[in-house]
Amino acid sequence: MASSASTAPAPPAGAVPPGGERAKSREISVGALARLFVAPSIITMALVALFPILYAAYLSLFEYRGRQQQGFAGLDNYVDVLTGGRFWDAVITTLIFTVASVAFEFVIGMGFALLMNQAFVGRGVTRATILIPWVIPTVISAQMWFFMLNVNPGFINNLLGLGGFNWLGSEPWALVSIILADVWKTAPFVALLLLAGLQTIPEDMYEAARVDGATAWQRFTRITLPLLKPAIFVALLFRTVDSLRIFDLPAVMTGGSNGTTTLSVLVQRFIVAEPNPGVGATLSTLTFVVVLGIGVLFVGLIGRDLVIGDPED
Amino acid sequence: MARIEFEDVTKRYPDGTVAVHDLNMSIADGEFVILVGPSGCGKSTALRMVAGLEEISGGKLTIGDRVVNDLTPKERDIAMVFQSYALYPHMSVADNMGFALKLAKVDKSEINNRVKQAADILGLTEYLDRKPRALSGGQRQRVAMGRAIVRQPQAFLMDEPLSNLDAKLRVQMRAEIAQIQNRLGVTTIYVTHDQVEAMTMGDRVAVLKKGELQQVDSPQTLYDNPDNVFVAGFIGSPAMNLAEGRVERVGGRLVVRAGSIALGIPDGAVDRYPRVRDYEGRGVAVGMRPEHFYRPDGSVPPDQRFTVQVGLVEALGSELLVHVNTDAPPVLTEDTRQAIDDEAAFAELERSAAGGQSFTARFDPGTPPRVNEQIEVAFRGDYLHFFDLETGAALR
Repeated sequence: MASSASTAPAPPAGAVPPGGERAKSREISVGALARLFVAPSIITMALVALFPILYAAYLSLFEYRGRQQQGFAGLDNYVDVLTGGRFWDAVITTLIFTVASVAFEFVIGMGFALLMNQAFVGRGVTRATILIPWVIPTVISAQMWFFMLNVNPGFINNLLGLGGFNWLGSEPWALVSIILADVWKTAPFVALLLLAGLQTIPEDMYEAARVDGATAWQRFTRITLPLLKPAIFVALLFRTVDSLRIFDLPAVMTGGSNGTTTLSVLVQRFIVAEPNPGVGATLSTLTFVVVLGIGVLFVGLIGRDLVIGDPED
Repeated sequence: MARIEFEDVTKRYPDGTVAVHDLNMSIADGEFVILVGPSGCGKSTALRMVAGLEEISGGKLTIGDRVVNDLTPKERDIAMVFQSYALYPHMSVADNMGFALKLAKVDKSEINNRVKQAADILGLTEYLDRKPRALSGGQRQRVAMGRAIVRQPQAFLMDEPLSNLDAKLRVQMRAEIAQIQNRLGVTTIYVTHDQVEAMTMGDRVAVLKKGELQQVDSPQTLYDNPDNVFVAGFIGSPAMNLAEGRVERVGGRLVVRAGSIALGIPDGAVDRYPRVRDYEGRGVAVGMRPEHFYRPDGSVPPDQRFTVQVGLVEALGSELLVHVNTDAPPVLTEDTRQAIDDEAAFAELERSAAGGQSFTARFDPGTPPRVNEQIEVAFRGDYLHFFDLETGAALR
């Protein structure tokens, strides 16, 4: 449509075509047109994502008593939060949770993905079974794990013969339990992402490697892993960012006690329970900065060539 | 380098389909053998059994002096060129070529030497640091070749390696592969469905149909003396004209009659197909290659020529392909169905069988006949081919 003017037959040199001025003023460059098309998405994104972030940052600059705004506080909230212990404790808890759960989810998810990628009888059933935990809403599976980890009578204690072992009521087992629940739920998701990656690797690549003399392990490390890099990157990025925001599992299973107060749990506490929306907004903003920072780090370290393209091309 | 021996080699899939049936063939050290046949004939399966990518269900496969049935591809010491090339996209050209050597823990400088040498042969030297995706189709094909060459394996196995190239490049690479194989002297099995590759590249050609070996011979022997009607119909492009005919004796001379066409069978043809005498009064499949037709002058005896209507003329510059309409019934058997290798074309032939069939004749360039014109054509009777209608076997 923008080209309607430019594709019109060229007028003889020097002649002013009738309506030429109007046609010219209507002409839009390709770049401008592209921006125009993208604009609705950008505006929507700004409304639903950027606005809350900026608004939280704005709120974090005010002092509150209860839910009543008391006045502009500058960076006082940040000073309080960063010098107090609770924020840093939550950061450490969140990082431990993230590193441990993502690591286990990656290894187990990779195992599942490799399994699901094999052609064997009953593959469909296996795939469906592996994906069940992921389909169950987290709040429900959290409640389920809460019941199973009950002290007495507790399914897991009974099964493992642990008697009155207090999983959720002791450190560090409360955090371990939450990691376990998260791995159980999300490893299938990682498997799904990795499986999608595995299926893009052509079979003859493996056959060529076999003919070249590669063992099964060598095929995995020299062919599968490098070719799976994009999928691995996406899976790790998604899971890391997601884990950093973990809320539902600790909220349901421990309410944040026994060393399970993650950043999101802490935010919720300040906004709802305390309440101190100023500090809550400060914590939200800091959480956002942490997540953003790690995301950027990811793209910078692992994914640069995947996002921007291989410099060799 | 090594001899490759198939003894009753069979591939049976769990669902009972037999892809390769009792294959017996002996490939000499350094020989270049082409496996050719229509789709689904088992040629790729046979090759993959040699590679160790496909389990051997029965029989014995020997490479060199080792029975390799239960050996892994690694232990067989063979190199394979895949149709898709199967280059490792994350490795440079040099790494692709050196991968097998690296896995075999060959010395780094030795790998470098061999990769350089192969790159030199293939004209890839300046591309060694590139990734496969930065190469053209022809260059990728060379890398795939290079990967095989650096191995210095017992045998090269090639699975339709040129089918992803455009026509011009294919002609060029065809010659190059043949030259390289000749130069290196490595035993080679080459799978193709391309007539020209089959005829021009190898020392011998093995023709397969539905998992069964039909004939192994030098390309010329295959062309001149096909063992059965399938090989006759499959080898050669344009294909041999095959008609259902009847051998009769007219005035002490053997004559073959197909529709209204009657051709005398000269002694030369009887010498090549002596059993045709036993078929007097019976039906045969008679084969006529397009190039053995010619435009007769007045001196040609009447039992070597006939009149037909021109259906289509293809003037190719160096030659003239003329499709003529005849009332000679086509040979409609499983053999010809396989040889045509095109269900739709065979169905069309079946549909119009009652009205005869179209013959393809190849003439020297000259004034082309007009479409629908009635013309006289003659056939060099010495080059007639005869096969049993039921079994398809040559009447030798």
